[in-house]
Amino acid sequence: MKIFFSNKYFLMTLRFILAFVFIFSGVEKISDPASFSDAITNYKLFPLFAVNFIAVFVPWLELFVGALLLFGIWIKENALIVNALLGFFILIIAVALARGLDINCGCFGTRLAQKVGLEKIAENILLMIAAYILFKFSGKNEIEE
Amino acid sequence: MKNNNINYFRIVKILFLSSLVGTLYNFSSGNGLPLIRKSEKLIAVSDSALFSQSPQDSEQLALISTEQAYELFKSGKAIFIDARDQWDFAEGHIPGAINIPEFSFEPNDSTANSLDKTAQYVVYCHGLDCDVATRLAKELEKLGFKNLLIYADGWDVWAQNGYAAETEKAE
Repeated sequence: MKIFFSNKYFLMTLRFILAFVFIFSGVEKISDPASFSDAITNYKLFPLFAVNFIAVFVPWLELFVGALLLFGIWIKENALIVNALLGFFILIIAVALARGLDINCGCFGTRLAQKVGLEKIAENILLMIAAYILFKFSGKNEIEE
Repeated sequence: MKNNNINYFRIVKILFLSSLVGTLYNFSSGNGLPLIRKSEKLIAVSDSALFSQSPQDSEQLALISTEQAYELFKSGKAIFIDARDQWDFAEGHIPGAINIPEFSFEPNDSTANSLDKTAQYVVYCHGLDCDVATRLAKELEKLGFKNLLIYADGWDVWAQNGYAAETEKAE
């Protein structure tokens, strides 16, 4: 099993999938920060003064992490950030669901109008598994190796 | 043997760099946001404008006070819209109010679309720290509602004043 997970091409595929998802979601949000800010406000979880900073910061973090993963730089650190972000997303989606909020999740910006729901949580869990495997089995830095 | 150690300094670097670039980009791009989001200020409407015989279609959303809301309620001139969820609504609301929960609002909302868009409406939620009334009013404005007022003090103050209330009959 370990040999399979440590397979270079398998890890590379996971890396590219995560990189694509994060770059895409980052760019979508960066292109329309105002709607993303509204989407965050809809969760009714964050103080109003913090909402815009989150809307400015998180998309760029996603873009950076995605780009670094794409180029195989600092894979373990980035995989850790990815897991932290995904864990956080799962948490806020779960809270929104528990409170019965029927809102746009803003996951990939707001152009792709996706509602919060269990599918989003499932999607994030799959991505988390991918990021965990990457974290566990990939070398520290593919370029250095 | 692969190294499982994490270089936390790298994480700090990534976080710092992305917040820096994000902030810089935000200031330089055309559609940047103010870094601190403020709730929008609405303008209170004067009694003379509100109770004049020929009410003008307001250009923008206007705030009304508890007294003004109560006057409108007594005169029956305005229809109240409760933007809170159905549970809060069921526990108590201004008599005759229509419940349009903001959190599940869609532009094709059947309740909203069945209303007369030229009539006068007062939208409220529970109080000053809720913004769903304003948000709902903005959505309704997009649907073509002409005369919307926001009762900002909302349900809490209404109930404290001991004004008439209605609770939902068990369905």
